[in-house]
Amino acid sequence: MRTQSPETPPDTDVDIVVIGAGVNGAGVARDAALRGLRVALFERNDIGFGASGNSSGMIHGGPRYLSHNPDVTRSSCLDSGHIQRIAPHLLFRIPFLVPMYGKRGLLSKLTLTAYDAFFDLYDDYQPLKHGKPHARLTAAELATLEPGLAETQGGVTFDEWGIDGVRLCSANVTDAVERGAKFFNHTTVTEILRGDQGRATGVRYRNAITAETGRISARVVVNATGAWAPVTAALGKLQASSTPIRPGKGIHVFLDRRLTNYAIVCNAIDGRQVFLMPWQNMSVLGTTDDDFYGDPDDILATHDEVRYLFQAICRVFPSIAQARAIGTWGGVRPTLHAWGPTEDELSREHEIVDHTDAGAAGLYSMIGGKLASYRLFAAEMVDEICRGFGRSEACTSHTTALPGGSESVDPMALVIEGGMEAVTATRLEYRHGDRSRRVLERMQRNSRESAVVCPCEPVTEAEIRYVVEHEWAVNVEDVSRRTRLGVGACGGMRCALACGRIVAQATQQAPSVGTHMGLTFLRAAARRRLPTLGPQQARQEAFALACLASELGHP
Amino acid sequence: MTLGRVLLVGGGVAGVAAAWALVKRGVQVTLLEDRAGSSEFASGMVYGAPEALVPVVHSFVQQLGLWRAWKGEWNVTSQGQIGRSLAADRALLDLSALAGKTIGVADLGRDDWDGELIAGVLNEQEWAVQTHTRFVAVAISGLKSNAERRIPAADFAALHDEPERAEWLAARLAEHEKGDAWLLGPWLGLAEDVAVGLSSRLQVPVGESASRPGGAAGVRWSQARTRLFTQLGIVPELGRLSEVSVVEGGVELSVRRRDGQDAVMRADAVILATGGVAAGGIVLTGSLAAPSTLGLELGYRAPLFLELDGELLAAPDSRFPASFQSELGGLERVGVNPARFSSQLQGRLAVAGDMMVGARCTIGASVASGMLAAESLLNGI
Repeated sequence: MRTQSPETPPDTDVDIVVIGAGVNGAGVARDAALRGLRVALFERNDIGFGASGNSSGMIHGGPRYLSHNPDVTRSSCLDSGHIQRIAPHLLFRIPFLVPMYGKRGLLSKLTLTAYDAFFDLYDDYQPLKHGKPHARLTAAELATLEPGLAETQGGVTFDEWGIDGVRLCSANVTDAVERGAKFFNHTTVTEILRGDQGRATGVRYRNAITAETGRISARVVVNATGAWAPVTAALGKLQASSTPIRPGKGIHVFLDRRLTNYAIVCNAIDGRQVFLMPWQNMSVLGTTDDDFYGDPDDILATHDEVRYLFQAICRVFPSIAQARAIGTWGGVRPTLHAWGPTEDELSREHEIVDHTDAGAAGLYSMIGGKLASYRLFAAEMVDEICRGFGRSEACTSHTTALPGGSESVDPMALVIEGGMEAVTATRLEYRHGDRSRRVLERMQRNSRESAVVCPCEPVTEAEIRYVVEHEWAVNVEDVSRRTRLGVGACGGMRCALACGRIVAQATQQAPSVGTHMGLTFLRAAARRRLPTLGPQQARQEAFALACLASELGHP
Repeated sequence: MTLGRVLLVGGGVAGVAAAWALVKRGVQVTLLEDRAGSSEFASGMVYGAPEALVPVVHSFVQQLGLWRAWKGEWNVTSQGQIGRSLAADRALLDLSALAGKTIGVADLGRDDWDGELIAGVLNEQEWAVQTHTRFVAVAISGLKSNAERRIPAADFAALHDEPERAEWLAARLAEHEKGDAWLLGPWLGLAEDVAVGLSSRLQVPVGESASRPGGAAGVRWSQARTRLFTQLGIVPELGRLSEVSVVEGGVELSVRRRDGQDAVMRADAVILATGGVAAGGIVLTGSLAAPSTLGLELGYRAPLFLELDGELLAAPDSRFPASFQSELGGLERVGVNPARFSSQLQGRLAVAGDMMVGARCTIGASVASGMLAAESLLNGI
């Protein structure tokens, strides 16, 4: 156990600098703030910009680890239960179906029995996360539950929980700040400062928008930058190999509306498991897992990745070919490095790297991990820091509600009190929990703020202003990440420019800045949508873009 | 040989202009159309016709009676941008005569029109700055129910076709200090000249911004088209062209009618005005193997490219690896290229539409191309 060296000056600006406001960084900031530590959190892009906001959107129990690493399954399930307790509004049940295909006969019966036995084991962990036990279904039962499935030989169910990753990150950041942490969004750490004997003493930073620079001193610096971890380590003059990750790109395609009653798991051409699931108000098809050598700031799905997923799901749910794909998202997993195994076989465990041995005491890197175990990972990190500080506060991040999770709000009450439409209220309550009342109050103070700006999601003007004022959104993309504005079928054609005008006004900028923000969003959304377009949709896209050009006054 | 009957495929603005030009010259016209295309999504601002063609289109514009004279004006787009048009729907506010004035931007409290923000955008525009024109948001109680905040803009516009409702709106506007003009969203009637009525009632120009796709201006176009068809005695046939062949003394067209029946139509010539993107864009692929019979196959899956704000995004590939990137070779605008085919079609096939002249969503270019297509057939035979 390391203890604080007596020479370390205690009069630093903060105790901990955390770099990266993904779920791990936000989780560490919150946990440390809960234990009374002084924290500064830096984010170069935006909250949940990387893997956290581009994951499959599940707090799953990790059945895939059950056979070779049941401890991961157990801790995932346990923590899923904790997250439900601290942010009940953010979780939604996703029941999965695993249909069996192939010839009727002994083999498929045996396979089904093997699955049955496997999920029997998983059922042992389900109570930890308030999940339902699995069921074995006949072909007729499956056909009744999910009529769109191609003819099956029966199947099994299992139960998981979905979550909006960005909302989870944002709730953690909000809580950290409300407990005294400083948050610097859109602020790049340009250097990790090293003092006597190489000890990390703080960071230099630059705001990516205002170009303001500064430095802040700290006793400990935590690198929680996921796929960017080696880049961040280099800012402290460490070798990239000091943060051994093997980046794995995963993409998802999302489709308009909920197309299935249940999530469906099937095998892709290479035997990997992929899925189609109803998620929030749309359907999500995922995911790929490929070694990634590109720029983690600019992840785009490619046509072949999209086709790979469609090819797999078309075999079990044929009508997907007629469905309207409305976009893609992609992220890079900061998987622990190993030479040799295929991407899928890589461990999803997490690891804390203490860089003391590399001569950088006080600098830690968090590598690996997954959304479902973020809280646990953060707690381990803060435990280690507290040991170093000689403090003994216990972790309370699993017993203290996240912002919005303190009490349940009936969306229908918002309908009655605020004159909102039911779907607006339901979606608002999902994102903000009990804090949806704060958005409601804005609408009641100023009725123009109840205008529905994005009709697809829907998102009101009040919510846009709320996330600008209270959740560090500075442009349309930030607003979209937090509210899902412009993510629907129209791709933001109806709302992005209006949202830009509102953001510009709320941040005291010229209206033309707002138009520019709207266009930036539309351009990025169009790029992400392109790989999914079929011929007819490409035609609509071209037409919509032409209309947009004319709306902007330059045809 | 005279041009007795021409088959017009496509009832958008290009096809209608061609039909009018032909009927005026005594040619019989059969108009085949499938479904609404991009003309129905008109914004009300008309541009894109080359200056040289303005005299050509002028007569059509007068006959249609939908747009103000073809003289050029400044209008406000649905996003609060100030843009120049050759002509505009009569309901749109013409800023040309309002330079240096103060224009009230009426904010009725609808979700799609935040007057304060729109006025801010307008005041920043180069035209407004240079001409010292000011836009001032004015809150108007112009809604009768909460539901009217969110109903589609065209539905809200339809309410003002009721004379009492239009008068009620006039009275609400009149409660406020009179600026030099009123700018509203695209809500001023579908069938009636509500903007004209309000202007004379309030003694100042009252007009709309341009419509978003599916708004009032598109509906007004559709109605003007129907009126013109009645005048010209045209009853559109509903269906889709599937094949064009050259036969002795004319062209023969295979048609799949909307009711599912196949039909063969004969005419002296054909004009393809099928539009581009929204209509499905026909691509003709010549049958090179048997040039003597000239069977032209029509495919409705054209390759196209996407651009945004003048910037080429990428070639849209398909998640379905079909013949999307067709044999025409990758990236082309949607449309027909008759030059690829045999000279046998000379004088028998013409093509019209904004995509053909490389200008998207520009009603003016479509009108001009339709009239030119008619001219080329009339002169060619």
